[in-house]
Amino acid sequence: MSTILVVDDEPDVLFTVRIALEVAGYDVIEAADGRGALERAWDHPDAIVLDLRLPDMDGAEVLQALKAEPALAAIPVMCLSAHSDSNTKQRMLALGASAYISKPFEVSVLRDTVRSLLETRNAS
Amino acid sequence: MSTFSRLLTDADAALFMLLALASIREYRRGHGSAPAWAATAFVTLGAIATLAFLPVAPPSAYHEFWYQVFIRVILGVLIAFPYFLYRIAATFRTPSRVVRVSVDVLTGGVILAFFAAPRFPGPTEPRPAWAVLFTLAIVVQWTATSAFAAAWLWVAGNGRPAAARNRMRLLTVGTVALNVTIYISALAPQSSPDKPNHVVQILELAVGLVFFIGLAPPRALVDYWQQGEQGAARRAISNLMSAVTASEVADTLLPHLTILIGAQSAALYNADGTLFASFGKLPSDSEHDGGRSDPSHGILRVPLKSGGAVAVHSSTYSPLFGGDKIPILQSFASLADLALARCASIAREREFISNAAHELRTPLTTMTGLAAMLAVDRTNMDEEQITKCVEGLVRQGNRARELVNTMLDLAQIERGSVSFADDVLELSGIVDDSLDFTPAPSDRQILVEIPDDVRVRGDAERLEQVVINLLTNAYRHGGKTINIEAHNEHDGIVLSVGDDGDGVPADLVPKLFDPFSRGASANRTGSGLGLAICRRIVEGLGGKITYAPTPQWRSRFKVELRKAA
Repeated sequence: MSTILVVDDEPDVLFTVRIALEVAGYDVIEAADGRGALERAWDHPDAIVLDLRLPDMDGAEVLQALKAEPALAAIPVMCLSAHSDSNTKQRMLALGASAYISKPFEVSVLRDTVRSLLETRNAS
Repeated sequence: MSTFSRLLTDADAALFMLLALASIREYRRGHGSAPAWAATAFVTLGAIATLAFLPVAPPSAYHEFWYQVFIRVILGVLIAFPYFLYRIAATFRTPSRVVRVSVDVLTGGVILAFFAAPRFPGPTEPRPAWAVLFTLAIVVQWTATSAFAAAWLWVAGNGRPAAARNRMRLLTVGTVALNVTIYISALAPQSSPDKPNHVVQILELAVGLVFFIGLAPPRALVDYWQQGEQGAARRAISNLMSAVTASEVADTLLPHLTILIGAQSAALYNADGTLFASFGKLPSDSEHDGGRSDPSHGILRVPLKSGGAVAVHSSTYSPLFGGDKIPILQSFASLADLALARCASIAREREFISNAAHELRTPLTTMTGLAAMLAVDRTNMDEEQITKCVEGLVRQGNRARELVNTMLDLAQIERGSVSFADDVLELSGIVDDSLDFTPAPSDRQILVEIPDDVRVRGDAERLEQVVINLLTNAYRHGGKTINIEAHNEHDGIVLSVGDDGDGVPADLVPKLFDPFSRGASANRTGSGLGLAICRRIVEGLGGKITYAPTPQWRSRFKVELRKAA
């Protein structure tokens, strides 16, 4: 069973994503801030769902830190953001994010995106 | 001399003297080099006209000395006249060095030769070769300088506002006509001083009129010339009022202003003196000096209510041809003020809407997500998950509702549709009620120092809302100890709510009371509207709220209220 790390400081968003993924058959581990995310990443989840607005670090910083660490760089990261502008999206994709969805998102889109990330990762 | 001739001679002289007076008046109005040269040129012409009243001296031995003085004065100023015209033209656009040197040398040479010359023959005496040559030199100097001045004035008029352009063209026409008149006068000399050539006299009158209109055109003519520009001004005003960003205001204002004023460039400066936008080529340094007003260098600056300024940079001729444009500049600056205030208001509204949508995303995300899961995946969920989903839905629904209510409240206060009561209130009672409504978390200590007799004027419910918002902020972001204190200050009462936390980050302080302003690291509980509402309420109550930290209370809000008598 694949494990997904979900990073968000909003407990209810965290809970929603957790339930959505658990019901779809994934194991979910959580982090509520950037530092927590970088710690839990060493549990080697199969994918990371990363909110861009975190209390201690910018989501982009977390993403850069993940991609800068060779042991973690291969984990696909899906960014979750309240920003729907294409600049933020392009920036995150350029920094190495594998997918970007903006809030409010549909649960089915979240699940489909996570599934396709895992399929891509397993195929490569 | 016939009555008609006499009349024409008098009219000519009177007109040229009027011209001289008009040029002096223009100079007194505007100063600057162009009006100075214009005054010099036309006072010269006026002087020649006045001299025409003097009888031509008969070449008797007694009068010989005075005749020489007379002829030299007349010729001296006559030689200089086209040079003065050339200097007016040169202030509009500096000619090349070769031209400048040539004109200076030619005029200087002729004047030197003129003063070095021996006695001039009288009108009836035979002319020696040197006198013929000298006359030729004057003709060349006069014609060349006048022709250059005329052409230069005409060309320099291109691209100027209609009134300035037409005035410059009239000066050109006057200059050419004056030359033609002089040639006719020279080629068809009057048979006797008592029988002047009528054609020459009428031409002189026409030249005087053309110069006069060019120098001091009647108001009606200026209005007629400006019809096109007034239409452009109306369009500019209409565009200015439909601009929604400061950049659009600048893009509309500056080109129109440059054309209407006849300036070389126009610029809009920020409140801190930095350049916001410009049109045309700015003079050096004006990018950094906030467009400081410097009329002698053709810089006119009108301050804006927003703290910035509009400045137009024109060349030194502007006072002569553009003095009437200063009211236009002031009118446009006032309009720019209105337009910029409107843009700022639109920007605030847009930002508010964007922030409001942004804030609503979180509860919406969770609510739609949880609802979708309950609808589709309920059978795959255990009882605990279902309960948590429902609880989350209720929580986020409440959050969205509170957010919307708060935004509506803020909007109503801002719109002025909320009326504030003006009651006498005991401040300690207000604070007690607020603390009852929002009791401190168990790990916080609250210190209250409010004398019982402190009374303020205001609306109890709204004032409690302010105290509750400040307390809630302190609970969320502040330290362990919260201090609520009130005292007399000047004619009012100061209520302060402070805590011993870290204080507000410096970068957040300037925007602290703006809607949705939050520190980057602040947790996202709350609407981000609390302090914005506090400010609107306190201002509505006739008071003032500021962030005023002290060494002890590093996060402290100071609420100034009206004292109840």
